[in-house]
Amino acid sequence: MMNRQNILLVAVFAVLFIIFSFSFVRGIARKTVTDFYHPFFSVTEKISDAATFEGLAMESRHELAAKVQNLKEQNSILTAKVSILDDMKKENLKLRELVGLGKIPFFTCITAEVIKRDPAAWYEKLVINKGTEDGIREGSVVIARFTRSEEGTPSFAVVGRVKSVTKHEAFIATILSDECSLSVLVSGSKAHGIAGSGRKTGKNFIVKIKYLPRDVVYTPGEFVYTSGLSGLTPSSLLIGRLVEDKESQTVKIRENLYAEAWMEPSANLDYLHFVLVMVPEK
Amino acid sequence: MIAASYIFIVLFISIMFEVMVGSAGVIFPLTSISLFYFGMVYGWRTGLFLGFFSGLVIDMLYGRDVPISALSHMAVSGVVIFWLLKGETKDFLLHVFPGIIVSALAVIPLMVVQLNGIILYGGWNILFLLLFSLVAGGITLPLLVFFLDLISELLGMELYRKARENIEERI
Repeated sequence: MMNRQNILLVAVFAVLFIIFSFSFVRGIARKTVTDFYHPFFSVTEKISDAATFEGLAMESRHELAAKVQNLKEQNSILTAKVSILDDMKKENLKLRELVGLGKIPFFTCITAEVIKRDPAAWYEKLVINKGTEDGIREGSVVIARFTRSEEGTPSFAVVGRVKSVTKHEAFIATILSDECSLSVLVSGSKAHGIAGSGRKTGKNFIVKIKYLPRDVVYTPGEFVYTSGLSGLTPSSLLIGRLVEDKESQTVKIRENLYAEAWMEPSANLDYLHFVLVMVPEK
Repeated sequence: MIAASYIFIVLFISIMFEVMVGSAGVIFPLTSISLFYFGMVYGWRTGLFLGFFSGLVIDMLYGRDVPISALSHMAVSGVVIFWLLKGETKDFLLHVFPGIIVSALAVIPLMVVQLNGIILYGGWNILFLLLFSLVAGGITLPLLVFFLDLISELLGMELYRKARENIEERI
């Protein structure tokens, strides 16, 4: 059974396993495999889109006309808002130039659909159907729609960041993952920290915020936003709210140097179908 | 050539199915089960080769950092050797047991390596994830053996139920 030939065979695969453990080789393999499989996975996506379209076509003319009318109204409101924002953007750029401040990046949103999720890393990773061809860049922030419980209104919250991109797909590391380190700002106390790495407490998830200044008072319920310190992340995107830990403490002092707090993410990571990727404008 | 194309198509569909079902939040180790079938029919060395590359494809599709499926799918060849020596190939219902073992081999190492991600599910959900995979594996293997043998017979290829007849070639 275990003759020389078989031992050699097992050794070859052991070497191959080691080779594929290197991130460079893995990156090439990932790009090749995902690009090869992409057309087949997008078939299911197209079928679901066609089913949605057919579902819409089943509705009566009057219903469709009412919906079109409603969308036209919403569209004109949004067009007006965009034009105001464009003017403000130009004004902002001019003022920054006058004061001598550098240009700040503006972002465009790319809508994407979640097409794959690893069942063994359900809350940590997801794969979307947009890649470098669609303008997605590594490190871009990913947001998703959620309903604010206190107001019942829809809003957007940070889901994670783009970890790696292939031609047609992008791999997202969620805020619960150790790989997603995000510079954050705690709204009330105006303190900056780094968020990333989560855990589950009961039914909720909590995310650790590290390297917060230790001499600041933090109160539970304070909103946590992106700081915008990195050129790839816009500022003021909602991430979550500060919560108390098991010992009813909002912060813990670590190594006598910095404070560590916990926040509850606002995005619902259980059900994610569509997301928006915020990419810096060129 | 026909056999190679047949293996490629079956594994391709298995991987697609596994990843699509996985994206719904459950682990359905169809690829490992197909690998067990091909390992039994074409020998454990073929199983080892196919296991490594199909496992690697799954790891790449999910974007895993450790290619654990490549390793765990190769381990299916161990079950193949055991089943060729001690098992039975004609009684389909008996295949519930290797089905469960193969599923356990695919799922447990994955759960151990991805422990950080698995813990986020919470206790009962982890148990459900594991039990679902084992039950799915136990049910699927006998059905897959029956179905693939039917196709193999039509295509005039080697059959699973005759795998133990020329055991020397496979071990």
